[in-house]
Amino acid sequence: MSERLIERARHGDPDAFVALIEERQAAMSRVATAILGSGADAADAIQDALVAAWRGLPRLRDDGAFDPWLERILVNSCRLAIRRRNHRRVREMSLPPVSGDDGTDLPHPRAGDDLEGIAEREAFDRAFDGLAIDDRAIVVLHHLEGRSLADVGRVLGIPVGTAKSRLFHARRRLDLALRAESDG
Amino acid sequence: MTGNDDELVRHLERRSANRPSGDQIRSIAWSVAGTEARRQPLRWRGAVGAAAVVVAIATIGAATLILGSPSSPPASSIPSQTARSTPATSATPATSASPVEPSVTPPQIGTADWASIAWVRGDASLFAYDHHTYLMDAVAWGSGFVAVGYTIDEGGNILRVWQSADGRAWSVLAPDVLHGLVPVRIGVVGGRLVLLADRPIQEGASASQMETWVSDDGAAWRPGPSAPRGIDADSQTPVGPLGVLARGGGLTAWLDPDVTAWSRVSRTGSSPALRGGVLSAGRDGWFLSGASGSTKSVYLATVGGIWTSADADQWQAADVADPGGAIGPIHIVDGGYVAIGTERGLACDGCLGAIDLTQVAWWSADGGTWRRVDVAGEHDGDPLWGSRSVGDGHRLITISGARVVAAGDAAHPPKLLLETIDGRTWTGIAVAKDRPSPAFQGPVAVGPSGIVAFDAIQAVRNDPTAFVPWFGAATEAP
Repeated sequence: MSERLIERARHGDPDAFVALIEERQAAMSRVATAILGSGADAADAIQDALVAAWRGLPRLRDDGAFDPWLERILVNSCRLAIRRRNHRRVREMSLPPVSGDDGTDLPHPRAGDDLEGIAEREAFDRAFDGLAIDDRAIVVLHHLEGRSLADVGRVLGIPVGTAKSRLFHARRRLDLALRAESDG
Repeated sequence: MTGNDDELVRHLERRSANRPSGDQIRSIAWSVAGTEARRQPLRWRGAVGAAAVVVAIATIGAATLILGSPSSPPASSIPSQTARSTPATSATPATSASPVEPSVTPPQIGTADWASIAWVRGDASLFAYDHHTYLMDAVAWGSGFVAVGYTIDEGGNILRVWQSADGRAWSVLAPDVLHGLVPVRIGVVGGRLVLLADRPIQEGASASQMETWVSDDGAAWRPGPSAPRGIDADSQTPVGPLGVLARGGGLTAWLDPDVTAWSRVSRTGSSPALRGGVLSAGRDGWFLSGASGSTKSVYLATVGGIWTSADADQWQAADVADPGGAIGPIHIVDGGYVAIGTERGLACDGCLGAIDLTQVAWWSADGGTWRRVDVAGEHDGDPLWGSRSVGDGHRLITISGARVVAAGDAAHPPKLLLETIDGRTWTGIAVAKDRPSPAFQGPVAVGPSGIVAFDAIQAVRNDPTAFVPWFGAATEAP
C-alpha cells in the first residue's frame, strides 16, 4: 500500500503524499514534540521536514527505506528548529486548565504531589533540553517509539553498534544532568 | 531518575503530550502538497504542467494557521503618523558618523536595467558531502559572490566558505578558525565580509552564543567584536550601510559600520508592538515592518505597518497608504525603498498553516511616506505571487513563485523575474523558456553582473544534487 502511495507521491500526486503523511502523522508529531519539548517548534520542524521530503522524494531510490529516510529528515529539521527557537519573540506556554470542557471545575490536585511533580518535570525537561539533538533523537526513538537499535541506526545513518553505544552515552549524560539538577 | 525505563518513558510521553494534532499535520501536508498552487489562476503556472505540484513554504515572520480569511482589519489600528525620526539622543552606537533619519531626497539613479537573464547550471560536486549539509546564506561581494554553510561531521560542525569570482566557477575553504561554528548570516559592511555565526555551547543543544567574524578576502578570517550575550541573528538580520542590527534576549544591538564594536541599544518603550516584526536596513536609519492588530483565536486580523528609527531605539510609525495585512522586509533601491507584503493579515508568532502568497508592493522615496505601486503592469495574474525578493542596494529583483517548489529535480519551469530600480517602475526580465532554471529555494544573491541562486538549504547525506549553483548572467537593456 505504502509503496503505491510513495510511487504516486514521487510523481507529484498530492493526495498520495497527504495519505502517506496521515499514516505517519502521530509518530512524527510525537517524536518531534518529545525531542523539542514544544508543540509549536514541533509543527515548524514537521513543516520543514515535509517540504524537504516532498522535494526529495523523486530522488529516493529505495521505497522500502522511506520511513527511516523521512525520520532522518525530521531529526534534521528538529536541529534547524532548535536554531530558530531563539528567534521567535513569543513562546508557547502550557497553562493548567481551570475548568473542564463543560465548564465545571476540575478536581483539585493534591498540592504537595503537584508541586513535587512540577519540579521533577521541569528538572527533566532542563536536563533533556541540554542533550544534543542526536542524543535526544536516539532516546526518543528507542524508548518512546519502541524502535529497535537497528532501526534507530538506519534513521541516524549509523551502525547498530554505534547506535547502542550512543544510546548508552545519551542515557548517561541525561542521568548526570538530572543528578546535577537534583544537587543544584 | 531515569535509571528506570518506565520512568523515562513516562517523562517522554508527558513531554510529547502537547503535540500538534493530526488535523494540524494534515493541514501542513496539504499546504506543502499544493492546495495553495491550485487556487492561483496564474498564466505562468500553466508552464508547470499538470503533473507539477508545488510546495508552499512562504514565511513572513513565522507562518500562521489561517483556517479562513481573516476579517477586515480595524481602520483605527492603521498607523497614521508620518515618520519623521528625531535625531538620536541616547544609546547611539559607536558609529563613525551619527546616524540620521532616512533621507528625503533619493540618490541619483545610475543602474542600468537588465533586459534578460541566461541561466547556467554550475558544478554541484563542490557542494556535496557525505554528511548532512546546510547552505545558509550568500552575498555578492565585489564582482563575485560568497556563500556560507556547514556540514555536520562526527567531529562537529565544519563551517565552509564558498567563493566565486564570476558566479560560475566556485572554490571552497573550511578555515580552521571557523570550525565548530554554524553560519547564520553573511554580509558586506564597509567593504569587508562580516560573518555572524552561532557557536553551540554544547554541540547540537539549544544554547549557543553568536560570534562575529571578519574577512578582507574570504580566506583569512579574524574574530570581530563580541556581541552582547543573548543577541542572535538569522538570515534576515539587516546588514547595510550603517552596519548590522540584531536582536535577541530582549535586547537590540548595533554593529557599527567600521566593525569595531557592538553597542547595546536601550529599550525605552517606543518599540511598536508588532507581530512578525522584521528589521531592515535603510541608508540612514532602520526599518521595522510587520503587522499590528487583533490576535484573537487563530484568525489574525492584522494591519501592515512600517516604523522608522535613526537610532534603533526610538521608533516612529511611517505613513503607509493602503497597508494591507502584513509588511515584510524593506529593500533599498536607487529610487528610495520598496516594501513587499501581503493583503491578508498573517503575521504570527510561532503558529503555522495555510499561507497567503498574494503579495503587494509599496514604494517610498524617503522611508517616511509609503504608497502602493502597481507591479502587475502588462503581466497577467499576480506577478508577485509567492515571490522572493532579493536586492543589492540598487536594484530589487522579485522571483515569482520562488516560495513554491516544483516537484522533481532539474526540470524547474522558468520563474517570472521582475526588476525595479526606481521602486515605481517594474519591468519583466526575459528568461529563456526552453532552458532549465533554479528552484530558488536556497540562498540567492544579486550582484553587478547577475544572480547566483541555489536550489536548497538542506541536504541529507549522499545527496549530490541538492546544492546546484546557478548563475544568471544579466544582459543590460540597450
